[in-house]
Amino acid sequence: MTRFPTLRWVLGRWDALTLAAAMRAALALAVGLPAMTALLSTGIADHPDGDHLLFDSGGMMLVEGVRLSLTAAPPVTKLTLLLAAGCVLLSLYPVSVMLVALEDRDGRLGEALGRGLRRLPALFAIYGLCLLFQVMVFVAAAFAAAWAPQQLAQTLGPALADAVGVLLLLFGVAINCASGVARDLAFAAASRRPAALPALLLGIGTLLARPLSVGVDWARLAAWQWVLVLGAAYCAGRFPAAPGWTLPLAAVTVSVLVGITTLRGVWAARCLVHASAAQPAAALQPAATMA
Amino acid sequence: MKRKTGRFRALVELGAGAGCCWLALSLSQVAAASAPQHTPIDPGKPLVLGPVHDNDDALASAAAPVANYALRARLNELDHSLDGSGTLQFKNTSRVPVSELYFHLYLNAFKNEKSLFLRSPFVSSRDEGQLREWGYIDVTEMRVAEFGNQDVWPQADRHSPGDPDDETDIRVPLPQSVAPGATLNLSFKFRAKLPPILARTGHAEGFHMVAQWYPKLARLEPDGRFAHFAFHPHSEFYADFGRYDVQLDVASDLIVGATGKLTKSEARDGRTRLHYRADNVHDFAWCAWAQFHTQTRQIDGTRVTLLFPPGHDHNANVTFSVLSGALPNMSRRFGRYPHETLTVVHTPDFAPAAGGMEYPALITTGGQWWSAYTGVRLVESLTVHELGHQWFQGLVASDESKYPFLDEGLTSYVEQSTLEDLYGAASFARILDFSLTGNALRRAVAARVAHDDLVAQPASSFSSFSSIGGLVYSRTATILETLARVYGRDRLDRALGRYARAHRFGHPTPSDLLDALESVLGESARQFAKGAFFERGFIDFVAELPESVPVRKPAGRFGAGTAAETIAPDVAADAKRSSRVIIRRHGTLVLPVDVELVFADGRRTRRTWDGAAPWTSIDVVDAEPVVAVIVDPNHRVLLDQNLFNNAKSVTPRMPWRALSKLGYWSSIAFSLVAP
Repeated sequence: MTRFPTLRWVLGRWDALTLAAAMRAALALAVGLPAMTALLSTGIADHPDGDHLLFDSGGMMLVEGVRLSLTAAPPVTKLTLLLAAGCVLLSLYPVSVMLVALEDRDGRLGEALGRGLRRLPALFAIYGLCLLFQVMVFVAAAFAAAWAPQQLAQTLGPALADAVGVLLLLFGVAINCASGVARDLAFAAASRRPAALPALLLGIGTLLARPLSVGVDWARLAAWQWVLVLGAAYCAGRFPAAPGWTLPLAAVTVSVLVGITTLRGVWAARCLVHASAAQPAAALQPAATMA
Repeated sequence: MKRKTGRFRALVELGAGAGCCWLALSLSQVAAASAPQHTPIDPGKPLVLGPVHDNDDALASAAAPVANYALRARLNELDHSLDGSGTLQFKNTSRVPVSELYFHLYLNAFKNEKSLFLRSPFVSSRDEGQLREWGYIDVTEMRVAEFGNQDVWPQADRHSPGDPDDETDIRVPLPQSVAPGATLNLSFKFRAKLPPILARTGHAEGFHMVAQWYPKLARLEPDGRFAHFAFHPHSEFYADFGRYDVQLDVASDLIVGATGKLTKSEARDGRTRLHYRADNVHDFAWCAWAQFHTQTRQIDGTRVTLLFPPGHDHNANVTFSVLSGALPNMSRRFGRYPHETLTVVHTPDFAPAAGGMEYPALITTGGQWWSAYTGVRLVESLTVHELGHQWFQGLVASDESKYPFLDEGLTSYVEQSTLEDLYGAASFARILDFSLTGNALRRAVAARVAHDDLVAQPASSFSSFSSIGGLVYSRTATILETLARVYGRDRLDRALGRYARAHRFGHPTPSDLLDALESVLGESARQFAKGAFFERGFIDFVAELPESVPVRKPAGRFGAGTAAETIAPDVAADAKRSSRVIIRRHGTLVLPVDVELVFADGRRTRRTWDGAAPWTSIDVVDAEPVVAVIVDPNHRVLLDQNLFNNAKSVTPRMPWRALSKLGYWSSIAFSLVAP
């Protein structure tokens, strides 16, 4: 391995990567489907000027489209949330497959699919516990962020008081990010140790044992992800609102999805490295015997 | 009053006949003539709306004073009460003797939960919430100099007419009638207690917004009736013009903003006496808070003082910036702003219910310290809206209780058109590259409530405040914006300018507005406005799918005998195609509209349809078939009920761009949520 060893490692399992990207795209599309249907039901397709009218300066047709879709909004929202919940759970499968495939560099995709499926219960449990913790943190942070500015407004002034509120909220976000990192490390550990609780403890232990290197890895990949997302949005926003630009827009969308999945793959690989490094070798059973 | 949208509920629908009755009633009202300088109002003289009112040359410079007040009040900061006294010089400007007076005691709306204002849990003003502390006004005496200084208050009714539980509209019988043209001099004492901030007035954390705080004489109509009403949660105010001399006694650490000009200030023993004078106004409001910061600037010849909370410096800059554009804009369009001063109060964050309100020469705005950083022009739109009220109710003092659309609706149009003058398509928001115009939002709200109720009806007749928000604010603004786009903005501005100038310091009715519209835009515009305001009129253009066939020679046997010629079916005349497009106009309102035809080779052509019939067909013979049609391609008819049924294409186009964007952002959102 020379430069970018992890990236090479991940790209070496292009089959699992492609599968993960396709599954994520399909799941994301499924989540967006109700909203897309509502959009089509407005009748925008009948306008000879096309749907770029929706993005005209002033937002006249966009607001009208939203208004006409409002009657469908409650069922669409409910359906979207339901789909999102289901798809989020389903999205654990490509994560599991990716982890198994990365660990078994020379294995076949078919094997990874099977082993990934068997790891799913542990991943569900880890994800559920982590989500519960994150919701509790979010509620506490939101409450504190709303309460503190009211108490401090007279003493500090409205701007500083609100800044305190924002800081509290950011603190909550930071805790949730850290718990997300611990969760991902636990996922990595679970690819070898199928019991959820030990894997979760291993994940937390890994984060506590190597906070700096894990944090740097996560921050670097998260930053790249945001650069990708916002950069693509910025570029796509500059595409002329003309029918001929639809294909380039779709190309950008697909590229971003593939890019994000690759970054996720790199992060999964780094998690495997950290989980292995943080734990004594004896603590981790050989992957082959776990199946 | 602050614009309000959202929450639309089921409404009580009034019959179309109610609209006609309402129109008849309003037409029967004698227009209160605007008065040239110091000339008494002549209610019987019909007003001529003509070019004389197209500029400020003939502008009335002063109101005929009907109700002149001299008020003194001491603010008790600890219990949020006022000890007040005053005199009222009242002139009977009606055609008949007056034997009773009506006083509005607005603060009694907050006296108990049996008041009209508070008693219904289902009818609320713009502010929700339950009072824990009561507000009230007790008048202790009211003496009339012309009747031997007799105290007439003991004979006053204890409650509003026909409502034993409400004490906001009090009749005071007089010992003798007051002849037309005669003057009464009354002196009175009162004690007022402010509630926690609710519906424009009250106190919160040391901030006091003192409005509708004194016994306020109801407006005397030309026929001798007082336009009095109990204070309803949906309603605002109505009063005669006059001169106000006001002395306020407040703690010296308080910063005070008030209607009118500060003429004298004396500080002694920790108290400060402030003397204000305001001419040609029909109300006097003030506020006080120790933490206010103040800035004063000269804008278009007016001394503008801004009071704002600490930490709101950016909001202050934004407020001055928008005022420097809007004040001259409105002065040019509707007659120059007449007062020497304008006080703008940006209310504290903890008192939002005091924000977004208008009084003569004083307006309140609001917003959090970060509001102006968001890209959404909340501070600007609120400021411009309340400034617009300086004309449409401050100077053109229509009855806000009976015809709320005349002040709130017109002001909403003025707000929106002024913001578009200043900020173009980003009149409501600019966030990154995305711009949103307020007209898009108002139009959507107007379409949503189109069939709910009449626009032109009393505030208390609306089913909810949301209904007022939709019909009075948004629909009126959209009706006027439609007139501007169809007949020309300059022409509509000229019509509204005539209305504003002719009725400056007057009390016009809806028929005066219709007269003004007709005088510039013509009879069709009057009919449109009448239908839209009074009859729940609506309009919806619908395009049908274009049809196209090859041009054929008419088949059949033509002529007789040997000269007869038989032409077989399906014989092409030439290579041309005949296309037909059908456009429908749903609804009761009539407006001309542009129709754009799109040919298969991409060429476009426009026709204008007068819109008079329920439908029309457009036949075209051309080398190419018509493949699409767009009705009103420039969105002139903003009142159109549905903009998406205005176009039809033979070959629909999949909205790939929108779908791609939706797909992209749902993927990104999914990536953030999913592990």
